[in-house]
Amino acid sequence: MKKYSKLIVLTVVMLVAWTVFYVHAHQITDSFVRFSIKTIEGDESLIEHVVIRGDMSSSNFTYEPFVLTKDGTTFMRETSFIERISDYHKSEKVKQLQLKHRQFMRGKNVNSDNYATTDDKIVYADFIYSKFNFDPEKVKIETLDKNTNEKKTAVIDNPELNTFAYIEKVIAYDEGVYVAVENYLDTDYETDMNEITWNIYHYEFSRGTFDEPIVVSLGKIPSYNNITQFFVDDENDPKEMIVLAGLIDYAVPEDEASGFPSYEEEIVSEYINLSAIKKVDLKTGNVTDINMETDQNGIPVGYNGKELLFIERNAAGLHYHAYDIETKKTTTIVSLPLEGAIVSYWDFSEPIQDGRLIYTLLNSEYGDNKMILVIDEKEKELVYKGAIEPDRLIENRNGDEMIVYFNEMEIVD
Amino acid sequence: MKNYLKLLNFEINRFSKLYFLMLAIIFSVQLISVFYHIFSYLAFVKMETKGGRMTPEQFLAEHFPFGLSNVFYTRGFLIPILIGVVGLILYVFFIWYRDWMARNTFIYRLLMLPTSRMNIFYAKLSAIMLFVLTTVGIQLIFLVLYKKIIEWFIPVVYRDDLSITMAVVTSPYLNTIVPAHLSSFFVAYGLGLAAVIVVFTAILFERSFQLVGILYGLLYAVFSFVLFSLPLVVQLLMFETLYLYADEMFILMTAIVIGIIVVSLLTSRYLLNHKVSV
Amino acid sequence: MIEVKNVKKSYGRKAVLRDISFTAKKGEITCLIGVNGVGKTTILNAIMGLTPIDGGEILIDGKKLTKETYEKVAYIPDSITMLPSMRIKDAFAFMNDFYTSWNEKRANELLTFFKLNLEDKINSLSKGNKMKVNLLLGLALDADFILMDEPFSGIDVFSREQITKVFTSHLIEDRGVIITTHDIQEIEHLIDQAVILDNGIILKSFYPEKIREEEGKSIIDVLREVIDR
Repeated sequence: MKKYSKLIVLTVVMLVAWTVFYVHAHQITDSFVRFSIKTIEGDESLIEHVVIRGDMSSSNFTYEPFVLTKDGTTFMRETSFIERISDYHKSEKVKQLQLKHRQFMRGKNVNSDNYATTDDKIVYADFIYSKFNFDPEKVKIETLDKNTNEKKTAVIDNPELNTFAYIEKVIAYDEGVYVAVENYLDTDYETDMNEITWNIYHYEFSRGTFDEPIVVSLGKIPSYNNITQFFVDDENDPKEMIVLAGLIDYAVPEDEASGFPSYEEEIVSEYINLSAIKKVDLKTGNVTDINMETDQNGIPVGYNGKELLFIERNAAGLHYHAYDIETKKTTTIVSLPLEGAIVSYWDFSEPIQDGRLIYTLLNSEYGDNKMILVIDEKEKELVYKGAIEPDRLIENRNGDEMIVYFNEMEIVD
Repeated sequence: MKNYLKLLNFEINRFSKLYFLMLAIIFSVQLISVFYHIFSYLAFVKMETKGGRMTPEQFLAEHFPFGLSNVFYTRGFLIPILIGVVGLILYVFFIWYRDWMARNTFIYRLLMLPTSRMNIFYAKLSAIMLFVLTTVGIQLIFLVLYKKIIEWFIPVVYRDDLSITMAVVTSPYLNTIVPAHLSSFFVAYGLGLAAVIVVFTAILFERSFQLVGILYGLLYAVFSFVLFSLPLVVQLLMFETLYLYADEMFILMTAIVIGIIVVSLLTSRYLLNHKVSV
Repeated sequence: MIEVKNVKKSYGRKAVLRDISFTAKKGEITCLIGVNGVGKTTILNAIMGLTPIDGGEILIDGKKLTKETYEKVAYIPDSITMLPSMRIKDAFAFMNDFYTSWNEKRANELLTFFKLNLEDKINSLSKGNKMKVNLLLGLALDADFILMDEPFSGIDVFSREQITKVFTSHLIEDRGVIITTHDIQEIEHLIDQAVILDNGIILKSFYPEKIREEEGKSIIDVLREVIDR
């Protein structure tokens, strides 16, 4: 036995050290703050399909992604090896499509904006690039019939897109598909302005051809702090679309002494400056300008074929407005007090329209106002309000502040 | 099995002196470095807060507290690890060549043992893996000591009491030798094992065919590497997006690695039994 | 019986063994004779599977070499096969660990015979004593055959005498021995079969006793004859 002493000692030391380490590593998420969605008012079933992606970071702990659903928080390190190495950050929608239609989804882009689904179809749109050319050469649409598993491909040969072009939305309805592409024509580096168009391509299944694209010019918008949005009146039967561009601007003047306003001052002075709102008639291709004759706007969140919907944030709280394009009148749907919390427009800049429901993730970096709000734009009421709450106080060790971001919200079918 | 264990024990005993010397160097340099950084930090705290110029809170608003992470990024901590890594990589070659190159030809004895020659191969392979895993294991144990030392010397107000596990899994350097998940551990050290097997096979090519064997060995190693990375390279060059799903890619690459291991072991067995020469 | 049949071996373009065939029997001492570099060591290495051959066949008691062969055939190369850092007792322990045919009693007997000490470190020994340890490690195995490569090369005269005594002692008994040498005088009287090698071929293989009786010639006379031819 003595002869084997070194071998035994080394083996035991190795096994003990590694085992203890992995037992601890396995339990490491026990020390993490977990979040849950606590319903304050409304119908809890509305958030059944909400998936929120977030991450925690601190000076030591650089990055810990997690997913929050109504069932609670799952950290990336709690998932399987395969899940960790596959694109952990891809959307749930794409994950589910990959799971159900593995062959169709093979080799396809994982950006959920490139997909649309109907009861019996999956539609995928993407660019085709030729070698040595950065401009998209073609726009390709692939359709899968879920019932027959039949796959069809259609291609637009000369989409006339520039290098910086992005598929922002694919809308599939019973008869056809719309692909909305944001296309950066030109950047003026001196003024830092981008010239943008939205090109809308339409493909009809029965004809098997593409129509001439509708090109909506949004003019020049600043490269920074801009917002561009795209809404459709009814995803299942689209007749009109709204494309708009604007800017989250700051009213606060530079302080002469420090040169810059403080972050808080900046947030308080934020306002929305909408530079272009265009309504597109999808049947005729006509594009009309909408001039809002009110400064009661906010972040645009949806369109119901009659009214544009906004969320405004001011000292009194959050306000959901509906602006009637015909009558040019604004009605307030819901107002919510914010109890003194500082909320930036950036904290809810990407609301989701899911049929008649509009989901907003309020993700204030300051304070505890992390919320999910759902309004029913038809009934014009707040139908759900839930707070995202940590299961314990977020512990900030000596000089090491833990920051939690809720980056993205998704509604899964 | 019995002979394999005897040979493994023999390899361990044979390298133990050098190994313990290497451990002594690695961990004494690290210890010195830990003390150096603790005392530098304390001196800095003393200077900044002298005569009530700053409260601890004010100090911490401007500077980081002291914890294990402060030690991790220092040269005194990383260079010894590098020494260990380089030492063990050299050992992969040394473990074979010393049997031929020494003044006395121990390889005669090894090849004439009344046991399968692959036992020699497996013993050498296991010895390397054991030394590597034990070195990292001892590093983990020493982290406990460093943390204790930090607790003894740094007042709690200036201390960042990050747990060892947390400190390790969040350190990009240590994370490469101590993967944060057990599954990643098997993947990382499995690949390491495969790499050592391929290098062993290459060494046996050289030992079997001398000068031209160097070429065979190099070609074998390069071929194995190319084969291993082929799915990734093909995927990146031929498709704009990933054609294979992550699980398929993982299965394919695992199959390739297992294939490389099996072929290497069979080749090594053939070379050891029929081609290798004293 | 060790049968070497039509064995060929080249190093690159240089043919070291062209077509070597001979048989070594149990109870006989077979001596491979030739100047340095004629391939004597290569033959022994080939028998032990330490150097691959390009052609031909080697059979030990009618079978090809297996791992069990190493219990039956002991090889004593011209340099020591143990680690220089080992003490003689470590070498004994090592042999005892791996070889079932290791005979501890005979090993201790040889130790006394060669006047060696168990505590001696191998790298502190003289060349002659190292050779003795080497011999000891081979002879202490209960092997049917013993292969010795140049056991007298570069060692002092007293050591030579001691080693020579081994051949006539019970330590060899009825085992088969293959010995290589370029200097025949020392052991001429012990040899049962002589195999004269030159340039990768066997010039003559004969029983010296028979030639002495029938033709009145010594091994050296025959050696002169075949080399002059």
